[in-house]
Amino acid sequence: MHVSLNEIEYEVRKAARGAGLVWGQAEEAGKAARWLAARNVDALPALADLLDAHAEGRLGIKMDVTGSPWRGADGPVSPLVAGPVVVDHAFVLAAHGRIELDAMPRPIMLAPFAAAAARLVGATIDLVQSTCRTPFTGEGASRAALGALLPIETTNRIWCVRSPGHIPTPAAHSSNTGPNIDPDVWNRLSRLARRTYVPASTLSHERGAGAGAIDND
Amino acid sequence: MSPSIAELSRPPSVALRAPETVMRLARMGSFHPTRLSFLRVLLRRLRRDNWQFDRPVWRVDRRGEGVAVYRVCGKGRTYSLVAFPHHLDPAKRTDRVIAEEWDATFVLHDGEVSEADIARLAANVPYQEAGRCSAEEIVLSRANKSVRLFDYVVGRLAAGEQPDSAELDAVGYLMRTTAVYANGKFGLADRERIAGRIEFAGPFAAEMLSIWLIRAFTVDWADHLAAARAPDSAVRLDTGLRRRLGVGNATGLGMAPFLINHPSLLDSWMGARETALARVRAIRRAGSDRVARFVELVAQAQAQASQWRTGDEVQSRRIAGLAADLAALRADLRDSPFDRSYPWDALFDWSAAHLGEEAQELLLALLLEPHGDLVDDLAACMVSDEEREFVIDGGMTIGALAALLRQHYAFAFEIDFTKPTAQALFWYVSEEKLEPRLGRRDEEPGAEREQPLTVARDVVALAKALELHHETYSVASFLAGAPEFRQIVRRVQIAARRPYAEIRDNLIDAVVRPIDLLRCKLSFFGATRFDPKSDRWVRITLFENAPFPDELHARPDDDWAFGPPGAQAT
Repeated sequence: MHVSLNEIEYEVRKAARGAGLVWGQAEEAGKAARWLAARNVDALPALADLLDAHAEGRLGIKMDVTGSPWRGADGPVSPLVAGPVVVDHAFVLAAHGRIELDAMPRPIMLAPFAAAAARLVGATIDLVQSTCRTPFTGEGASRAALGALLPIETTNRIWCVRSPGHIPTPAAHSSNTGPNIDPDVWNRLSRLARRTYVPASTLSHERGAGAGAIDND
Repeated sequence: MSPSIAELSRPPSVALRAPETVMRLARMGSFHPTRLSFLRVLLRRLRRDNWQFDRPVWRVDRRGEGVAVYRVCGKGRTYSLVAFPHHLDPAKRTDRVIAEEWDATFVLHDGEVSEADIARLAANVPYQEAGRCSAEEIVLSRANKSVRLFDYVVGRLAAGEQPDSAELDAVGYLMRTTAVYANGKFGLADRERIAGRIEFAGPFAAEMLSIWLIRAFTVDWADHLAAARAPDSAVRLDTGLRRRLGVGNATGLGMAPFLINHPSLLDSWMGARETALARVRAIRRAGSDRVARFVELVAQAQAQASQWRTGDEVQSRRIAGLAADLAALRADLRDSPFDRSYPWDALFDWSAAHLGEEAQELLLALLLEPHGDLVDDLAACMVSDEEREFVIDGGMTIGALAALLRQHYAFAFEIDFTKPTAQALFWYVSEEKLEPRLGRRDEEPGAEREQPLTVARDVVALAKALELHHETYSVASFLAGAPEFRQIVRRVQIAARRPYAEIRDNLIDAVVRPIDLLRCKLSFFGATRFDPKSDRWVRITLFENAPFPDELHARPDDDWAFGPPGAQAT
């Protein structure tokens, strides 16, 4: 099904909130989903897995950044939680060159945040894990690199590393339409999004946005 | 002691009004459209760049059903507004967003529209939210008739007579839109697709274009139905009379959260408006032609205000106050020394001391009006790179963040959140129509699903949480363990960079009037005749007095906003 990038961003935002992330994180999850969709990376199935895990309490939303690696403070780490924390700590990457993160599922969802961190640091940031090393510039990463990250279900520790020099990386082509969406995946997101809605009460009907029902003048 | 020379002639740069003065709901709920309103900006641009308009398709039957296409060409591009007029059972006509059928539905297509496109759109556009559009479509909309005026006008035209101008003025439009969607909703084109196009630079330009073309359709449709009813006697609506008609719009809570959800964009709109005012106030010598035009505009504004009708008690009182204030303003102008230094500044100062907020904000609009050469360029500033603004500065210390709270959110710390009235309301999204709604916390279920429009309360909670940490602690480390504050920290950092980003009022207080938010946003669109139907929804008119597509290039100036020249209050 054809879905606009805007619809992806806002449905994911609501789904993330419905799954138990806080509003600030939910906004960032929505933007991350849009970032990937604009590059024709169909990460929504991975994202839906993550959000289901959040909804079932299998992932935390807080991090302990006092030691190394940075760990979940209230449950296992989620990339939707760790990503924003890494971007917030871009000044640490700039000063110390690396951040080590605990194991996490679906590392593809770190990709938009790695690009954001690269933009803030003004250097290439590598996501390094046991099986691959993915360089990010502020614009993103190559299609091949994103494609390699996409199928990884879980990963052991990940390092975010500032590269010694500027390594030019061809960014994946940006599209304005986004990928075709699997309706089943969309339904999974919509189910979570629905948790942010309030069913109409009699009172809300009476006091709703409008007054009279028929309006023929 | 006699005043010094410095006091007699103010400095050439006049400070912008303080956010604490401007960013209050009561004042924002008194805004009037200005030269910088988006529909004015759009029409100036269409004229400047010599855009051309025609109606290549008109297949509408005797009952008024069918399809019409309005084409817009310029700058190497074409847009097509595809209109689907319908026959609607009067019992189903409602302005509420929950409606399922309308008198007419519309879509703005990106490019020439083919017969295949029309067939595809005909299967989706009439169903609005229940249909799907493609990325080739930019704006989706629908409108209902003002039945009384529409039928009256068709009847008169069919009888070979023009409608009475007073009847037209009493309503102000033949049809009103009940929703105008863009920006990727329901599968429409994402903003990225059109953002780089000069004709759609700036906010809501595509929406304004659609509404302007819909206005042309409303008159064509009435002409058509009159001719269908009486082919031998019918006449077309006089071009002078049709200018008095705009497009109505009914807007409810759906629009209200926008200004809170786009703080940096709000700042750019308000900043442009305030900068324009400051530029005019900084004029040392007022030219006599500008003064003459201004005096004429005040008279026009007085006439416009005298026609402003509403059933809303609060707004009625405001309009009465405005009428009295405009009379006072005219009296003051008679002996106002425009030959003094900085006369506009003096006049605005006088208004702040003597007039109500309705009149002060109208005066702002009137002061900008003769000074297009000085202020129109500010329209280009009414945008924001929201992605850049979104980034949290994690390296900031929480000591610095706490200082920002004290500096920019003093209003929040004056609110006693232990009082139930301070958080009597909660904003939520309705399951029924996925639209923002406002509930009463103590009476209605669902407060645990509250939308984050709780800025003042969040600021107070953040300040308290920050006290638990050493002031040298970084914002980044703080948020890692307290992500519930991510959103409010982001807001505070934006507000620190952008003075007009934040409304200095508690948006969940028992006394909040959501229509104040609507009035502010609608004034930036260019809306007139603000007519509250409750404290939660409102009717307005867009493009009243504006040229139609077939006369845009015949009129040399953007001088129509306050009505025909020479109009006087009765």
